Amino acid sequence: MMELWALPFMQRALIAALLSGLVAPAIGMFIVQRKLSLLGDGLGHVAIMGVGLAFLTGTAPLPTAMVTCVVAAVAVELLRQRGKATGDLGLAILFYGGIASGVMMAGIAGQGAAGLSAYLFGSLTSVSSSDLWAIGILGVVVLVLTIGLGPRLFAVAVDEDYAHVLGIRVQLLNLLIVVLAAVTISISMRTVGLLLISALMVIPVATSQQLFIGFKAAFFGAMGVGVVAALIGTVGSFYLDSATGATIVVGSIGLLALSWMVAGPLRRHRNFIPYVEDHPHGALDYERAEDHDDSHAHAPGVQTIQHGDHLDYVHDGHRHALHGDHYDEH
Amino acid sequence: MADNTPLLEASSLYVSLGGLPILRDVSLQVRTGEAVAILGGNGSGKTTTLRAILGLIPFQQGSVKMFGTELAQFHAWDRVGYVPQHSSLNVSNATVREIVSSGRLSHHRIFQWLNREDRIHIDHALELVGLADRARWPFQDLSGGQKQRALIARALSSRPELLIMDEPLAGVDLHSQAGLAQLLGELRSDGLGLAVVLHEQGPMASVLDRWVTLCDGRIVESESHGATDCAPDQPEQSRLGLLDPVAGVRR
Repeated sequence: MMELWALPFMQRALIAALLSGLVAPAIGMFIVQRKLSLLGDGLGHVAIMGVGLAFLTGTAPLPTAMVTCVVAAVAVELLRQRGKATGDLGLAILFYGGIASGVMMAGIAGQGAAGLSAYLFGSLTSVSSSDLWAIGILGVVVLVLTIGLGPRLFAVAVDEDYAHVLGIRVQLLNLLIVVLAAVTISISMRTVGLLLISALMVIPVATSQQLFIGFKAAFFGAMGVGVVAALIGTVGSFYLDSATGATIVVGSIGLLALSWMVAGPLRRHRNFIPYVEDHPHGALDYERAEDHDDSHAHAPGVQTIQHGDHLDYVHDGHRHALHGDHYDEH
Repeated sequence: MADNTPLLEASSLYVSLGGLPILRDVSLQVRTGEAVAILGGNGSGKTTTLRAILGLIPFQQGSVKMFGTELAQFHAWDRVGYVPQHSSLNVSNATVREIVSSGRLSHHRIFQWLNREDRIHIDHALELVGLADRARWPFQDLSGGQKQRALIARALSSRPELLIMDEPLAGVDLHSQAGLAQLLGELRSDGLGLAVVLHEQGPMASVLDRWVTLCDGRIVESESHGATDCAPDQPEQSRLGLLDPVAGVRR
């Protein structure tokens, strides 16, 4: 294991992957909340056009892809805000036009599919140290903005009208989210790849929402899950000789499956409220309340659970609620 | 004395959306400690009135003043609490407390997170609406009435002087409606002004000081007298020509 990290390209790859794992779920949280999960996928397609353009013009792929992707993100969001992107046909044309023209331009530039695949699925060896600087700086910018503006971005994602009445610049923040998504996609093209980066924005969020209650907890949880997935994927791809991005995404799906197994029973235990049909008085056996310890709420070892319009008391292996002059077993 | 200035004063509002006139000559005033309802059926323009007052849609004629300031120049949004319908929220797995916390943002500078003062106001607002013990619950798990209470708490957390509410009793069971009406009555007694959009007065009748009834974008009734009957459904059905196809054609 140690000799693995002695390799300089491996160090760079790992740092880049961990940054993607940290940043992608952070912005993904707002993308998921706003139900724009497929936008990330589409913007990845558009970035492929940027990579093709870079091949054709001989410029650096990262900045060219990023500019292309940001311009497309702004265009799509402005159209959406003006209510013109309600039909998804326009988006489909933009996204598939992006991937098709990207592959075409790469072919004309003599790179073909092989040259592109390092950007489509990620490639450990392709992270240069100048890439790493760019990825690091932009990653920190995205993190500072998503965390710093977190309460506002959250308010906008929950309820745009309400955020507007609070005096929040709703349109500007919506624009910021898609621009940050475009930046995140671009800086992740070396590690996760443009076709799969959307998965790293969405799957750790789903995993974290299984495990944590609350937006803030799920937000930081998703970043943690993303980092673990990136670590698993980077190490795994080295030993399995598989594409890094694919391995990271399969790893994060594995974590999601694990979270289902852990959270399922946990949630059932926490929220289990058996439904009992209301019944006419006397139809069921019951104890009269005065015969019963009536200080439930304060007694030690008694758990109270809100059940619709009343409280249930759980103690000594049974669960009941005060109903008029008696207790019902629930 | 500034106290005589209405908290909210809408005068002769005209709103058109996509070329269709929606509101015609709608006026409304709310003063401190006053509960005013905007009543009307579906499509009567009551929600449009509320959205125009809040600056969410533009109006073509008339004026809206908040605390004596024209809407375009008004920035003290912490003095206004907006309570939308709880079904309009996209909450994911946020907790009740997180939803309520958003109410404090009108007091915040842009990169500021919650501080101690915010937490005190949030706790207080949750207590006022009786949800202090539900703060850590997922908002989604609350009943309709509790969700509405949480949204009232969100609005109250900024310590507003005016509450603007969109059908606070919609999607709330009858028993909880009475409780909500009582809560709103208490808030009014504490000196808040309430502007409430309602389908009908229902349990709010005892809380309201005044009301206007809208029909087809016009005020057809204000206070308890002077009602021009708004035949329910009549305008919409004749527009569609369902009941009387000939009349529909003549239009």
